[in-house]
Amino acid sequence: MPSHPGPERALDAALFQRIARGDALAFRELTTLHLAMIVTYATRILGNAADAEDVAQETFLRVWQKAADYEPRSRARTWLLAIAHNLALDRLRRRKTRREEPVGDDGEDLGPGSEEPNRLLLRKSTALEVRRALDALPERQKMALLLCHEQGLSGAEIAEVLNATPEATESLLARGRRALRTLLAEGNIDQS
Amino acid sequence: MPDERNDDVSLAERAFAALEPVEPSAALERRIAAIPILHPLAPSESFWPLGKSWATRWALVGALGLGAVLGSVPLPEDTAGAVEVGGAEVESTEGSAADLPAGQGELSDEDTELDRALAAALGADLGFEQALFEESL
Repeated sequence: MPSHPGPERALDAALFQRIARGDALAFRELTTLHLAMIVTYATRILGNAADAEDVAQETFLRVWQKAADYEPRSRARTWLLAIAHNLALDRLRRRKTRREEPVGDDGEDLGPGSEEPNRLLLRKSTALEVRRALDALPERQKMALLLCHEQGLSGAEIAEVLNATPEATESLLARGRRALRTLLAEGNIDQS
Repeated sequence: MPDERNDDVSLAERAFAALEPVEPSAALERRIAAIPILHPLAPSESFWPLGKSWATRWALVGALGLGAVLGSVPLPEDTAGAVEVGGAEVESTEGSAADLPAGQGELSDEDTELDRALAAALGADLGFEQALFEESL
């Protein structure tokens, strides 16, 4: 997991100060650095490019309007991911309310008896298998894994984004990895 | 147990490495680039040219209030130099003319010519006004 270099945060703080003063070039710079990351995270969470792009746009709109609220105690990417995470969660909740889908239980691990491994066996694309396995995970486990293994956040940063304690975050990560292993047990990933 | 945990971490790393990258669309990039134009920021500070701290502001407000109070006190009237003309009190212009630097109280030739030209143009009777002015002296 990455460390938290001081100079990076100092640069982030300077960038946000410029944005707070209405510097469009600084905003452009921030966008160039972090847009792909936000779109990737939102796409993984929402599974829909259009929704993910809406979330990314709203995230950067908030950044533009609330840059003065940025606190250098966290990295810019953590702050941005926290905003995107909350916006994506809102969207997921609205989606679930509309469809009346049951909300997944975070504490529930998927056992080997699940139908997912058999379905995964039929998939030829490794990426698709991984995506499906991630989608089968409980929401917060999936988010913790995405933030850790795809976005490179530390345990403390993941806890900040998920608004959880470091211990709960570690537990989420451990259970998520175990469930992912189970889901991919017979897939291409395990054999590569 | 630690081996199992390391295996899980390793598998997760490989699984995420297998995921296809997601690139933002050009349309999204344009939408985000337009944010500063479509949502201009309001000025962060209100316009206040005289002092930024509250102490300075209160000092200025106090000074203005004191000025207003003192300005409302009536001053003793100076009636010296005022004359009665037809029952109305008229200020003497003698002193004020004397206070002017030499040459400023008198009409120059150019002024006289200008008066004449104006009288000719407007048809005003300057002789009557001159007589009234001399009478008031």
